[in-house]
Amino acid sequence: MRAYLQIFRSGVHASWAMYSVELTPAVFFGSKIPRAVLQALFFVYIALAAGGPELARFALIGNAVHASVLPALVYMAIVIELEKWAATLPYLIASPAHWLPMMVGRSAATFADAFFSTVVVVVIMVPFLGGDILALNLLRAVPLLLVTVASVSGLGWLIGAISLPLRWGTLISNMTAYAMMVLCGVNFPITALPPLFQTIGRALPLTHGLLAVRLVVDGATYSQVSGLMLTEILIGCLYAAAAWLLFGQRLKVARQRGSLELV
Amino acid sequence: MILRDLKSTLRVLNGSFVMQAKDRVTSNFFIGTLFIQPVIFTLLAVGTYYYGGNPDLGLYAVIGTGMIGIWNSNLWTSGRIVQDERRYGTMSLLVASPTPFGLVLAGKSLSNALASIVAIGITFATGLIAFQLQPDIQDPLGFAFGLLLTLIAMTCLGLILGSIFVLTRNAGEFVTVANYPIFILSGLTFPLTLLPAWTRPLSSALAPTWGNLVLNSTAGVILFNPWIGYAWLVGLSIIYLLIARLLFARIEKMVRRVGSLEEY
Repeated sequence: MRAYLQIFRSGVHASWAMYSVELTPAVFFGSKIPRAVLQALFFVYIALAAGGPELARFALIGNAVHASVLPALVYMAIVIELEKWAATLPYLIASPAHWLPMMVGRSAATFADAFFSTVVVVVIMVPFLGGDILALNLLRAVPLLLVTVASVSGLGWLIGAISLPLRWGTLISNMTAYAMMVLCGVNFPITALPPLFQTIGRALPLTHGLLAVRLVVDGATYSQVSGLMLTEILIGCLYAAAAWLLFGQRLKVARQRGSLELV
Repeated sequence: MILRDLKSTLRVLNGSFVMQAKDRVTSNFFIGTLFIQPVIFTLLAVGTYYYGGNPDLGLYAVIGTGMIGIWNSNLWTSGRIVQDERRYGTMSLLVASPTPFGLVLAGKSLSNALASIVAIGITFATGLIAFQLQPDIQDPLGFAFGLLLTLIAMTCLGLILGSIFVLTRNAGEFVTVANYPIFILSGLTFPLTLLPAWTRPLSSALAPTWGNLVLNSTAGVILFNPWIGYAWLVGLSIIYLLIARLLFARIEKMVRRVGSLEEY
């Protein structure tokens, strides 16, 4: 157990080291923050034009949560791809240490980044476009957001596992994150979608978590949204379990074929 | 002499055009921005209008998302062209060669711009399949002419951004953020009247604003004199080209002096 924790810590350290190199102040203030805010603002404006302030408020909460989902999903998939690009994946896999704590640790900075993105969107946009949203209710929604982000990262990991032998991880995860805007009720309720898409949406992480966040922001208690959150956790666990199995199987095949270095 | 210069210019344009077309076929980013993103954005934008009880604005949203597709392909690729040249280690060779780098970038951008027409076709197809939105274009000739002018103007605007991307190894990062201000200020998929009045001059300086107005007016969605839009697009293209030329000359000199072209 201690060894696992040590590996996890190393992963976290590597994760922050990589982030600190990539996330220069110029990138952080010139790209990271504006991107999160402007993307949300764009979709809020569409909602405002389409359905007035009520729909704009709906889109604001949806996009604030989605601001977390995008990095959680994309970077979780990319972590694996980055190891391939850096040619360090074979070493990670060949070493006697277990890959799981390392991989989870490697994505630690991603979670911080994801959470921070939502905080930025909320802090900047809610005072102008949030209407009657209470700060206390937003704070109460934080644990739900964290659970939802963790649940989404299970899907990100699955995409990373699927795309392990491919070069398409970044594209697939990005497009999935955008498709989730349609399927998970980010800009409009999923009840507006055709039945087939509603079913797909309900099988994805984010849908139930986002609904719970919306309800809590509107004043619901935790017990009122416990069912939604349990479903969200269950879905996240299912995706993580599928990712675990697939990743293990992919690694086995890659070892046999000697294809780990393929990028 | 002039004829020889023209021939060599066209040769460079053609060479970089073809090279970019070959590169594009293998680029999953380009495939994503050209084929997948327009579908998702159309579903999002038109779906929001339908849910909000404004289905009559569906075609407006479709044209807007088509413009987004075109812009994405242009901007993404301008950024990625510069970033990839750095990664391949060919950037310094291109800058050092007697052929102006701006010309190479122009050929490559033009290649992507032409391919990006597909994006508008995909948005119309998505609107038709998902929402039964008929692409009833009132003035097809005017629409096609407007689209051509828009493509040229957007390519010229892309050149300005491309020249700035030469300065940084983080071009990819900035590309992702440069998209949304353009979408918002150009009123792509929502009316410009929603924006504060102080943003109007900024919107007027952007080719996608006029492209969007021209395409929507020729499609019969909004009332606007397309000839005003054509004039703006031509004028802006010339201004963008002049700025890009000036920037390229300065930035080339700057990066040569600093020696930062191999940084990746």
